Amino acid sequence: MSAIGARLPRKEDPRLLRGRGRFGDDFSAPGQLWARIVRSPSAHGQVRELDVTQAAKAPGISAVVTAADLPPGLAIPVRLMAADIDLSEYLQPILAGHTVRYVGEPLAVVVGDDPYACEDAAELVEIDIAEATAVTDARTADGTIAAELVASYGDTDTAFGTACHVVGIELAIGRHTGVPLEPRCLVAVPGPDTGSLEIYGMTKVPVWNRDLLASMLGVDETLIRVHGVDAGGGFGVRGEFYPEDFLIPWLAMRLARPVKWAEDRAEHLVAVNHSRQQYHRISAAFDAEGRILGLADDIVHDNGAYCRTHGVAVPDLTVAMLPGPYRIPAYRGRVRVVLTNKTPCGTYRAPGRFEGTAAREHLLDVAADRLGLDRIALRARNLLTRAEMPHQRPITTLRTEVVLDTGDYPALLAAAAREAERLGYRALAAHPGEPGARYAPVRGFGLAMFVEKSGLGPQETADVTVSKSGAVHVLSGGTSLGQGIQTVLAQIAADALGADPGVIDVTTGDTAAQPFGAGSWASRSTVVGGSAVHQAATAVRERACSWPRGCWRRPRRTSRSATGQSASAGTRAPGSPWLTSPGPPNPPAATSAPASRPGCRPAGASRSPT
Amino acid sequence: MKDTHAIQLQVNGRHHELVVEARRTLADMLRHDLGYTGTHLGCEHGICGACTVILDGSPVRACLVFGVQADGASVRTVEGLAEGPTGPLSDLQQAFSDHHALQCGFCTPGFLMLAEAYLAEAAYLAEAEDGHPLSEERARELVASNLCRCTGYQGIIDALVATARARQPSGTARREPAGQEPADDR
Repeated sequence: MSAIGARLPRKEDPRLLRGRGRFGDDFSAPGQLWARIVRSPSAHGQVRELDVTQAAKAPGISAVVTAADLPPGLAIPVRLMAADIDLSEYLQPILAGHTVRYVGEPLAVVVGDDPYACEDAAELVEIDIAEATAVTDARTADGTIAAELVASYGDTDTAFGTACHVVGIELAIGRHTGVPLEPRCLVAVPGPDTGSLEIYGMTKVPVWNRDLLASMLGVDETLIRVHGVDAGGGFGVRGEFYPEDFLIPWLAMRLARPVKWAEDRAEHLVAVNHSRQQYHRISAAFDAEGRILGLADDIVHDNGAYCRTHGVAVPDLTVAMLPGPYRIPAYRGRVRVVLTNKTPCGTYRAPGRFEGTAAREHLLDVAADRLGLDRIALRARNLLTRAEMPHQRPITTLRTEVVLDTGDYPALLAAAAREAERLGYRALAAHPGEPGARYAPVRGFGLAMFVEKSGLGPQETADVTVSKSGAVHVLSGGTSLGQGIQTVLAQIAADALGADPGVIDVTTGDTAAQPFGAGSWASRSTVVGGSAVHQAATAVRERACSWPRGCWRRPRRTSRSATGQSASAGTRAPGSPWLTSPGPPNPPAATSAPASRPGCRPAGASRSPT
Repeated sequence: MKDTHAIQLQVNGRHHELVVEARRTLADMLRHDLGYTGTHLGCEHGICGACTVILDGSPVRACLVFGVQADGASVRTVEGLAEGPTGPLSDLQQAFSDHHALQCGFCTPGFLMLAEAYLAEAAYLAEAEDGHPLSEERARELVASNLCRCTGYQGIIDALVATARARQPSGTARREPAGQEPADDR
């Protein structure tokens, strides 16, 4: 029985349940200073004066820095290049200089012995801003268009021109943000001798962040080590490179002291990436039977004040994924990325798919009503069938072809409809509610189809080692966002090794351990990170199995794991206490747990296809 | 001049004496002055409940209580639930693991302390004595006090109900079958 899919206690649980997790704010270093960010109170304006004199004189304050103190010209680049569009004009500076563009934009940093004193001193920074008009509606002509993206195929003009029915709606999608329960935190600890820098609190893409930080600081990237930490949720927003990710390490190096910054919830809400604010004008052309002939959407994407690390990935995903699971002969999606005076945007949970799905599915509901068709029947009529898979759309997203590889969408829809009937959803929706109830519920019955992508590449790294005690160590380039990655990777390694997941420990997010790791985002870690772990563990197993007879002896005890698997001596590396040379020929493949180690055979044996 | 006060308190049965600023929150004092970092801060204004601790028997938001208010008090934090840092988990902690009541684990200490306090309240114990252990509906009301972004709460509710039934004093309710090996503490 494989550890994959087995019901196992999570490796993360004991420490988290005991309050012994290690989240960013749980780290502190001797001699540590605290930082407090001074943020713009204005949505748009020219900074006439930023007077830090009183703040710098406040008790316990070590330094107050503004844009004038920073190396010139620093801006945070795009990490996810969705299209060959130059966004360099719209990148966010580390600290605002002459112009502020959103409420919450960092203007200065106060550093001192105590976070309470820093917060007091931050309020002594005198900010004089000449207010300018704030662009708050991306649909007006006032906003800057940073990019325009089009995804298109087929002849939409003919489709709409010859259709029996054309149904169009306008839809506004509000701003959301991730709001992980743990706010961000960073601790940067400079090494006294080598110029090294230890960082706690970064996650998601620590290697990318380390490399960027090194280039901005002008130091060798190997001097910076980002340590893996527990994370109280990611939701897309945590772990991207924000201004603080430069400021805190830079201050630590400049002041030669550890510096810690713990974001509070109020600043989190204006500082981390927002997402999803879009306006759709979407329409579909139908034939007499309700078959879709064409789909068109004209989208305005409110990206806030700057283009951050995600660039235009979210609008790019919106237009490319918008056709969803349906048979759409002709499609034209256009999105204009407009800059406004709001917090800049990035990804949040199913970026692009959430927005496009909301628009498309709402359109189908309206269309079904207008055409006099059942909402489920209209969808069923237009779904791609299993026979049409794989279905390639002649468009790309994130520089990847859009291919719906597998699936049986009509069967899924039918199953969902059956389940809704079984649960009595329709009857419930029709029910007016209890008379005299405290609340008068308004009930409805809604249904939508959603196509998700996962397993985004291009690569991930892993090392699997077996130490002398027989313990297995998995080092992955994936990172913890609080998703339970340690348990999953231990299961995958256990499967490849035929080992007990209990003897496997997993280290993630450590740039010294995996200096070429890609990180955890876009539902990729189990697929891509897990595959890397599986390959590494398989290589270890094959090497162990190729070891000459006589190098092995049976472990003193064979422990039974929660899965009922035997801990197998075959996973012990040469050099372990189970290694004897010379000794009784007792290869583990033949004695311990042959069933769980299908790939183990004597060295030189030919491999049969599996 | 800082307005400081010398205070003493018990945390998980341990005696502490320290000097704190009057404005320092109990949460910051526990975390940064005394090292009980299991108490988490999610919002610092009493909404999320991640910082819930038990102060003289009552669940409180440690971000809304000043450290000086705990002078002479007895505080219980998440670190005090298990039998020591390596001993067995409490029944409530084990139920959280069994019922997948946590994912990232950041809110978990708050839910554990909230539940622990509730299940020890006199009013609840009297109801339980009468054969009315925690219902799922009541558990829902209880967990509405705190925020979790990962689980959707169902696992937390299941864990609470299972723990309450297992603790039922009358013997009318049986302990839920665990169905699993003890958690691996490696």
